Amino acid sequence: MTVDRILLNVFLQRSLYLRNHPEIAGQIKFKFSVQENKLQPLKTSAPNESSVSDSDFLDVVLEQLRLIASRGEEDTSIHDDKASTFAYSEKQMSVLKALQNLEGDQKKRIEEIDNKNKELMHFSYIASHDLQEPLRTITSFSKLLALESKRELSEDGKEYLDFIVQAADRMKLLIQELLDYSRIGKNKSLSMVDCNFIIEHLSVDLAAIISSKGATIEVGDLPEVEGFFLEIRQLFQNLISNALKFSSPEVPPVIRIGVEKTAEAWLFHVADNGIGIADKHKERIFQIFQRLHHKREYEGSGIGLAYCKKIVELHGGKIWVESELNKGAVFYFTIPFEVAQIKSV
Amino acid sequence: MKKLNCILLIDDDEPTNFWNERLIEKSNCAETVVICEDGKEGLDYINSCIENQEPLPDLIFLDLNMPGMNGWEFLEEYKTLDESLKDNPLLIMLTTSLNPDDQERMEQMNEVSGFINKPFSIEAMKEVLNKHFQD
Repeated sequence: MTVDRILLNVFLQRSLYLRNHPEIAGQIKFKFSVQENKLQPLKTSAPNESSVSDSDFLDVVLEQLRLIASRGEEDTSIHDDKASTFAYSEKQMSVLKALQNLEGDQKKRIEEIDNKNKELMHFSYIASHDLQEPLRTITSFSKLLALESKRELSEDGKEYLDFIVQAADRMKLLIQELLDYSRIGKNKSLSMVDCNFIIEHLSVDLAAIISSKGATIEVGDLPEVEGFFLEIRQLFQNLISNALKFSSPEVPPVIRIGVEKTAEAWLFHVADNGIGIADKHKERIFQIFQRLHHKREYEGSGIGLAYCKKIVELHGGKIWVESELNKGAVFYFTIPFEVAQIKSV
Repeated sequence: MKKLNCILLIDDDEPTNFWNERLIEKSNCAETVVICEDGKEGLDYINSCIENQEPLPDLIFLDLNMPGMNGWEFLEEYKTLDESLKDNPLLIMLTTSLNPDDQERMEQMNEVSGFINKPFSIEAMKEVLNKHFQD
């Protein structure tokens, strides 16, 4: 088996794998650009008639990948033609070998992701059944105790009972949110999502809190993106809700939503004039169940931005925040144009 | 057993604070218990003691996972306090963290004299007192 044949095979496996696992498309794409970086520094060798110039070589490799992607895994003839017309230099062969090694690493990573997914599914199962069962017992019997015997309890006893009921209710909520979180993007299909439509509907859904806060939402013209409708709706909803929730006490919230077109993706922003986020907390806010404020000041379990991160990453994008304490915050996220294209391979 | 003047509890969870305060009362080992609900509040309390030249707590129980300034961030700030002042309080981590990495990290910090897994018990309290507050 020639090196390029091996290369072809691994990319066939990749496209086959992508077809079955659209959720990791973003990660594959990232890997691919690493490969491009590896190829580029090799453009200096002198071409002659019998060899392939490195820029041509790069084109060959890329063209091959494109053809494989578009024609599917059965067609190997194109590559055989190319292989007979070109003689690869030693350097080019080493590139092919490097690509092959990268691919090996990638397969290992994919296996790891597979295992992690299985673990997570197993965990969801445990959380939904095994954990909720004893929790239900705690909830129902402490409520029964409150109903039937509260008068007989001492003041301390009543307080203990309240703690038990509150903690059990909270745990129920946390388990539910953890389960929902683990299900993001599962068994869903891609569609064209009109972001203007989403914001219009969210403005209606959030009308009560918007008017009670005296908030203004300014929206630019937003694009249609290919993605998961409910997830993108949830993403906007969480970001807007946060902007309303973490507003400055004295100033009515002004939320600006807009978008820019970059080379590979839509770059959205949701900006507010709220309490802002300290520099050292800019990473932590995206972790699950991490909160910056006491439950009494701001409600919630601390899952909202972890949700956003998972949704954006599901689409192959990135999310981050730019902010200063007391000076508002701007949340940025990207939704790549190519998400759907890769997923439909 | 020696009776301490003041114990500072830093924890955001109300039932936990209730539990710990009750336990300290029952073991009758401190005159007062001060409760702070996150690292920032705890640090403010310590700083106010220093400013007003009041005695610092003898013992601090610190939670790890808190909103805002968590246990680690508290320790970072605590380190920068004046050396002579922070010799006074003994700091014990009191956490639900089952993560061995956390345990290792705590062991490496000079400021931390020990750690106890929740729920806190009278036995654990006695152990701390016997180990660190013998006459």
